[in-house]
Amino acid sequence: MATDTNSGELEELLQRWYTPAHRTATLLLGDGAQVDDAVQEAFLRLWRFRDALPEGDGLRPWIYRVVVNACYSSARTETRHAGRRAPQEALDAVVSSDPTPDELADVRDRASLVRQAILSLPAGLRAPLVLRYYAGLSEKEIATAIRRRPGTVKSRLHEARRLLANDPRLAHLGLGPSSSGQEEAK
Amino acid sequence: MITDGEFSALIAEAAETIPEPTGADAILAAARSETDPPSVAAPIARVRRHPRGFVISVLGAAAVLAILIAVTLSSFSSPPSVAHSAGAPFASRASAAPTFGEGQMSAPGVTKSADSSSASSTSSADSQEIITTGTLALIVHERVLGHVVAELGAIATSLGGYVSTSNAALAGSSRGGTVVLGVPAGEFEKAVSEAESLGTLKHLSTTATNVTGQVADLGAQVNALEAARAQLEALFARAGTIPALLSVQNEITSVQSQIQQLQAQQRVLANEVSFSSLTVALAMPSPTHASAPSRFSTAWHQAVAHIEGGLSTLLADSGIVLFSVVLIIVIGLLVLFGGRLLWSFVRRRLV
Repeated sequence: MATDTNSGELEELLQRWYTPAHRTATLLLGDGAQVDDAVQEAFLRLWRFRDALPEGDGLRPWIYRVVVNACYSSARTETRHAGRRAPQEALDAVVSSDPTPDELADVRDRASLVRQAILSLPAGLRAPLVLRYYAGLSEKEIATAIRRRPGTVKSRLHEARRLLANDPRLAHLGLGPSSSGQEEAK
Repeated sequence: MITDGEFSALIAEAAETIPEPTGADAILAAARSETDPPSVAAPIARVRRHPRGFVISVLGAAAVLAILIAVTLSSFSSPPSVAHSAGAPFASRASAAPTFGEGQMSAPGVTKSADSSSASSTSSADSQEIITTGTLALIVHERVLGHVVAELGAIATSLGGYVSTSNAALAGSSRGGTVVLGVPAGEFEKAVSEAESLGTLKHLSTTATNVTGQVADLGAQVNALEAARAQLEALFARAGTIPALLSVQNEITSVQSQIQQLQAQQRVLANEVSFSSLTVALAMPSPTHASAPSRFSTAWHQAVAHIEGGLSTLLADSGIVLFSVVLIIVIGLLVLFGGRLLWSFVRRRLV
């Protein structure tokens, strides 16, 4: 049975990081029980390996790293249960179901559209984008979190922004394809 | 294209619309429901929860084991190297630095020495003349003392040698005996080994003296004296007066005497070189020591001796196999613990 001291450490972690972690997972995976499972698993991992938690500035990228890994694990598990599709395609399929025209008509909120657009991105681009523009991690911290080189992070961020800029769901919000993006599309 | 700040604001706005999560209590409950929570400071528990480190260690150990087995098998297929240096110094008289056999050197109280102080500038490395002597101290029971003396004589005779001196006493202050054997130099080692088997070895020492220079000096002196004698005999033939004849006759007699003395020394040296002297000192156990050992004690000492002999034989015969097994075990343990440490490090990166 967990001791009170250990539970206290977990409570501190939850108070400080649960909401941003949950929102990060939601941006990465979309709504649903899968998000709750991933976040729960992430915090349980953090608690299990609490002695390995870094202190100071290293804590934030560490926590997001655990959250992102838990999201990836959850997505992979869901993919296996869904029918053993190819990892990348399946990961995208789990979290990026294109809304139907009727659903699009129902989506009036700009935030919802942005979330839909983010979820439509490939999983490999989604995590750097969310960590950069929502969690506020630097490229170096993102590189640590997703275990990629900073140059890779930079190119993925660029690619994610280019895809979002060309996303038609964001066009009517004034964030649609730029002229340069249209030229590239042509 | 929008700026980074605008992009961050947009995504932050989207995130803010996500309802406030309420699952923290469920996480706390799940954590509390976990029994025996693992800790980073509990490496055994970590390995059990994450057996991949153990699997990696086992695979690494298996790979090292396979490599070592392959190396061992390949070494067996190659021509074997000489494991024991054969010490047979007495088989050849041309050996410049005679040594005693390795087997005898491992016995307690065994010493050897080589003396070449008598070598002169006329000695030649091609034909060394060496006198070998040895002293062997044995402990034998008084009931078999006579039998041992007889056996020593039989050994010398069978090897083409002789018994130089022999004495034995069963009572008094000089209980025991001494037998001096003369055996052909080439059979000296065999004589020692056979004599050893007649009792309990207490002490063994051998001495090899290089007399090549001494032999050469004697030969040169004899040659010179013979030449002088020839000249004196020529003078004797031409002597015209009686006093002159007597004087030359005296000189010839003196030279002839010196020649005979030197030739006698040559014969002695040749005999010493041809026949090695082995002095066997026979001692009987002290009365207290003789009466003390019980059957159990004797059996115990015999058992210990046999175990020592068995282990020695096992170590000598197993050779590279035993070494490889020990090496494999050591490397396997290193890989096992190294793998566990590595897995501990890797797991922290995987969290």
